[in-house]
Amino acid sequence: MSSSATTGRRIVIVDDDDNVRTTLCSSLGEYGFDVVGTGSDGFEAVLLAVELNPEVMLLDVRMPRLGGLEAARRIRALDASIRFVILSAYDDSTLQQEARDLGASRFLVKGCSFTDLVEAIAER
Amino acid sequence: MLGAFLFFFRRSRQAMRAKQGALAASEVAHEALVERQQELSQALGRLEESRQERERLLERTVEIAEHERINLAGDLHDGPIQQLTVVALMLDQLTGRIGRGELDQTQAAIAQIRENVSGQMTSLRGMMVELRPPMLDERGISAGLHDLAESVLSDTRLTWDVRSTIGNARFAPEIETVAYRVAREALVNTRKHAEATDVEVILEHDRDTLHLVIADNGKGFTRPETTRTGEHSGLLGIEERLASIGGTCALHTAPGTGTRWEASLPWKLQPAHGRLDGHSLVAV
Repeated sequence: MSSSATTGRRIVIVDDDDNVRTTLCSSLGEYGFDVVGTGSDGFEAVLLAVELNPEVMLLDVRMPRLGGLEAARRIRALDASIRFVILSAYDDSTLQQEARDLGASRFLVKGCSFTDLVEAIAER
Repeated sequence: MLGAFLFFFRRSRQAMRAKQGALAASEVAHEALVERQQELSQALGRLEESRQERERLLERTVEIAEHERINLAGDLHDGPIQQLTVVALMLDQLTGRIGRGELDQTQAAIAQIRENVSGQMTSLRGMMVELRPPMLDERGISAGLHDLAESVLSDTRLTWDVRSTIGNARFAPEIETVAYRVAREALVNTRKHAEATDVEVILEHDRDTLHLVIADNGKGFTRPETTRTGEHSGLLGIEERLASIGGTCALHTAPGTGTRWEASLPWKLQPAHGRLDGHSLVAV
């Protein structure tokens, strides 16, 4: 069900779609990750980063109020230790480059396999 | 001597009169020329205005199309893509459970996935209809408006009445599409903002114009000075859609008086659009 790479790893999930957020929470929790918080926009992502200090943040890109990439930029300025995995509906090379420039460890497109998602979050 | 003087004097006077006559004729010709030039200049001015108006309409049409593409992209992003993401995740989760021999919840999970897929098919079907209502192609604007009212208002407490005197008459596709979208915008506005109990849609035509009225008994509103704001973008959308086919819209509303949209669509524009002939109002 889980491995040492995933067990207890503290993650935060930020996506504006309730259904996606709930399913990610359930799947990743079932796999052994410790989902310590969820949010629905970039502002909440910044607050959650400060309050919960997670190891990994799984961020959607297009969200109301503040997008995931801009949130990552702001969080990076506050805390360089948090890893970002971007999970976007857009398979777009410019967004991928921007995510890399921000230091995001992985850019995944929604619909990717759960194995890829787990690997992206679990890698150190 | 005197005779010779008189002879030359008369000749000279005749010559002067002839010159004066020629000068007068020249002045008349000059005035006519100036007048003609003014007419030409005015005609050129009107031509330029007409060119600018066509350019403006084209720009507006492009703006509307771009706006619709943005909306469609947003709908795809927020709807089917997210829900298919959920389905993919649930399938992966289910695969994991089956692999681990945890079969107790599989049936419920499959039912949930099935429900999500059905929901997405409904959503995609709705978007497809929104892009091009099939009723318009099949049965024309009159039937299309009945369907539209049903789809926009059926889950509200509003009572509605669609009255059409055009029978099964058909118009050029662009005319029917604009009429449909204008009606949709107005009905959605009524549904969202009017706090009305009754709304009626009236469709009539005369020799060269299709008349569409959407009227509700809601709270009305103060007509904005400008429609180029987010709050009144629907109103702008109606005006621009109509302008794109040379139509117009009169909006009658004030606080407490309900709202009445009167749209006029010149259906005889069809020859200019290269569609049907000028007598293409066909009963089918």
